[in-house]
Amino acid sequence: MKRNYQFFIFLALSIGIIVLGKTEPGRKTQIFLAQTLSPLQKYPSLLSSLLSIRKENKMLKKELANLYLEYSKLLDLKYENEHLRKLLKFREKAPYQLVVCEVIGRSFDMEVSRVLIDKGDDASIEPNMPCITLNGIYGKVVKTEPHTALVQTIFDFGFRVSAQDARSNVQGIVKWKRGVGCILDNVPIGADVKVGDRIITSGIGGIFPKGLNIGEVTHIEIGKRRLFYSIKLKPYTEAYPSDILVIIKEKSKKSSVSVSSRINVELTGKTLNPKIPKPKIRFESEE
Amino acid sequence: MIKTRITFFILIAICFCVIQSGILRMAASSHATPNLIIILIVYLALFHDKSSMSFSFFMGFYTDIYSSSLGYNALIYTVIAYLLGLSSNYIYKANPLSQGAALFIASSLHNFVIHFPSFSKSNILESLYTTILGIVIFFLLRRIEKIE
Repeated sequence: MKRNYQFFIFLALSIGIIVLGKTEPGRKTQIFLAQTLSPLQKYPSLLSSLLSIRKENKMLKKELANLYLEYSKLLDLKYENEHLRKLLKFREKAPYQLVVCEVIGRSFDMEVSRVLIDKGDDASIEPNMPCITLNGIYGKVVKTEPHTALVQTIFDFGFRVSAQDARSNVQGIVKWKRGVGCILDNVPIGADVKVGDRIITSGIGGIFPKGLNIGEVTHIEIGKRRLFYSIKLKPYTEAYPSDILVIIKEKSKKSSVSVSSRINVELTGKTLNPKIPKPKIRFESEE
Repeated sequence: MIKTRITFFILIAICFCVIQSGILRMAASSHATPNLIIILIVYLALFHDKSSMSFSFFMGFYTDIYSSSLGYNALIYTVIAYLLGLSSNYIYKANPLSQGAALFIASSLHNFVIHFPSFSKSNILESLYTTILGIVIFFLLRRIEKIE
């Protein structure tokens, strides 16, 4: 009898929480609790990442060297491009600003549908701002609070992004299907898509800039209704990429910032100059 | 004695929540990972029925904080604990096979409700992992409790 009584109390509490969770104060409470309890997730993650830090450090140094080479090439190309733009009086595209933020909470789902980041209204983060990792897109901001923001990841079944094949420009919509994974939808049969093709954002929709990496085509088959292809993708970014994410902010269009200083990286509230000094890279001896 | 046991299970619950949310999900190579929270709930429902529902509710609520829909895990975990508690008198709890069956049913029910309507192969795989790991954890927890 007492057991049944206890059960009905918890049942009523659960239903109350479900109802409350649909309201605005309920969501705010959820974010507050997630923020408060985030150390429970953060420190074990740090512990596990410490185990692989040496290996990762080595790999990152090599990657940094490669990126520096690539950066030098891109710098030359940028000046050339800048010069050509001036000559042709090209209209400058809207510049972007990158805000580096840290993940302080993750959902328990198998695919990590939402993450909580440590930057919010204080860093001028707004809903619908794209969120990326070094490998490609990771999601978009869906809600902001004074010091935090909630990011809906590409692993959420409600996430949609307009995409295109980087090789053939065939367009479609990338979404996450439970039990299947990442798919490219709405691609008509006969369209030029091949296994191994790189899928990028198309820029349609206005949220994600054009050209951001999404994933690679791994499997193509004809859909059940025989109208569209069923295309599976392997996202470039992982569900647990690292604790660092980047939010893309669009700068004011009135700003007359030169191309060279377009991309600023805000790290711990400070804006760094993009003129990156040549890094001193030391490789550890191979073990 | 009862207080020591409750403290012990609170610590186990915190450890399981932390491992589940942090380390286990990261270490998982596929989409399927064992559900430690279900394992503890089934264990408590079978062997310590009195406290199982409150544990289930609070662990479910903790899970809900990081999920997109608040309250569903708390509800389903409480229902699982209640149903298993009801049936615990009718099954032979010491037998690993009946423990495995209880774990598999509980895990499948949880996955079915949470991922409805898209119940997939990875959910069955997750239930299997939970069952196998659960039997081992049950054995260890029983040994620890006997030492106490």
